[in-house]
Amino acid sequence: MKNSSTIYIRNSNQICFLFYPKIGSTNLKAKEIAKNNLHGWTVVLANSQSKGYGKGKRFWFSPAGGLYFSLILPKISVKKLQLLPFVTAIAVVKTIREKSSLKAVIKWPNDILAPSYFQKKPAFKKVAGILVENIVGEKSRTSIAGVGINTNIKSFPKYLSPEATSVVKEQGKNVDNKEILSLFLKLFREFLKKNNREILKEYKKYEILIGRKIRAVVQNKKVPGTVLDFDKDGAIMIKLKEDKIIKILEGSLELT
Amino acid sequence: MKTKIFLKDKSYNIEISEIKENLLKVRVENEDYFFSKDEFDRLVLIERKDYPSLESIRKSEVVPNLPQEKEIKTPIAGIVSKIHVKDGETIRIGQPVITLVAMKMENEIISESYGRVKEIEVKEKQFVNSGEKLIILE
Repeated sequence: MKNSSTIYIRNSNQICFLFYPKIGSTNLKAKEIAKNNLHGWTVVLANSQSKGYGKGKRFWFSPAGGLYFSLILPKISVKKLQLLPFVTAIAVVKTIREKSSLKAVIKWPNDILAPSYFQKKPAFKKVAGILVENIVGEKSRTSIAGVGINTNIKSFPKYLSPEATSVVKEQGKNVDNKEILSLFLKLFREFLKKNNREILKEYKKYEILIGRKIRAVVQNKKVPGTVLDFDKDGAIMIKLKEDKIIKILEGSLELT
Repeated sequence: MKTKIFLKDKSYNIEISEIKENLLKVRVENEDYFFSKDEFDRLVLIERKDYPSLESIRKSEVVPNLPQEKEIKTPIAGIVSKIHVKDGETIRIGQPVITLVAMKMENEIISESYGRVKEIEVKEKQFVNSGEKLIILE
């Protein structure tokens, strides 16, 4: 235990908590820890991150006040593993809705947005981000669900203001990060036990792209279409102009 | 475990014992060397002039039955975003070889055996289905 500021706690649900006041990235630390033989769920938690990142190693603004953690799930099945972004998104969105006044929503696959009223026209802005990383071998499978929630962040740098917001900015009142984490873990556990159909049904309740006209960016090509639905594995189904339906597993979508 | 290995026509008495979990002591003639388990995995692989060659170790008793060829397959579907290894590179157990992305998840595919990369069967940005071959090791 080289880092004296790390606190190891095992709670009644047999989840081990590792706490760091400051860290580079909780996901990176979690990947390092996951190499050891872990027996149960482990949460790597930090007050702030200096190198927090999202998809494609994009920087995630993580000052003190926000909630940053990575949940390590050792020995997870491939079937469950593929639904993790959905389970994580459901747990984050429901937690924010229950613990604050924000009507958070999901943008496929796992952006968490909330309506923001700090400009002429209300707009959806990012209030939380999720990055699931898996370490997959033939026999071993470990998942890391990284979550950053902009809870008590009072202000954002100028370049982020148009796209990011926080719970405290929108409702004018702080939330308790500990309560948020604890509810997240409870909901995550609850939904992980459910089957694909139930998970996707819940996911669709909060998803905002279904029925919308979008431009899908797939391998650097932009394709216009309308979002129809998700298939049982979570791929998005898009109807193109000529009524052709395509399925997308990876790529990003722009609203048009 | 006591054994003898032959390298370049010279024989060495070797004794391997486990000091504690993940720590091995290797006595070569009368000198002791200590290795953590993952270091030991790597040591077996490194091929340098001053180390025994992979071939000679295979013939000796130290490493039991190294498979000749091994495939790394993906258990999940996705798009290859990064290939971390090169042709001919020696890889150790647990080393990430390929990153696949799907639904915003990054999947680090690790090797569960050691060996040398004989063939990389995929290219970056290629879509792979679950069960597909990614890399062949020898």
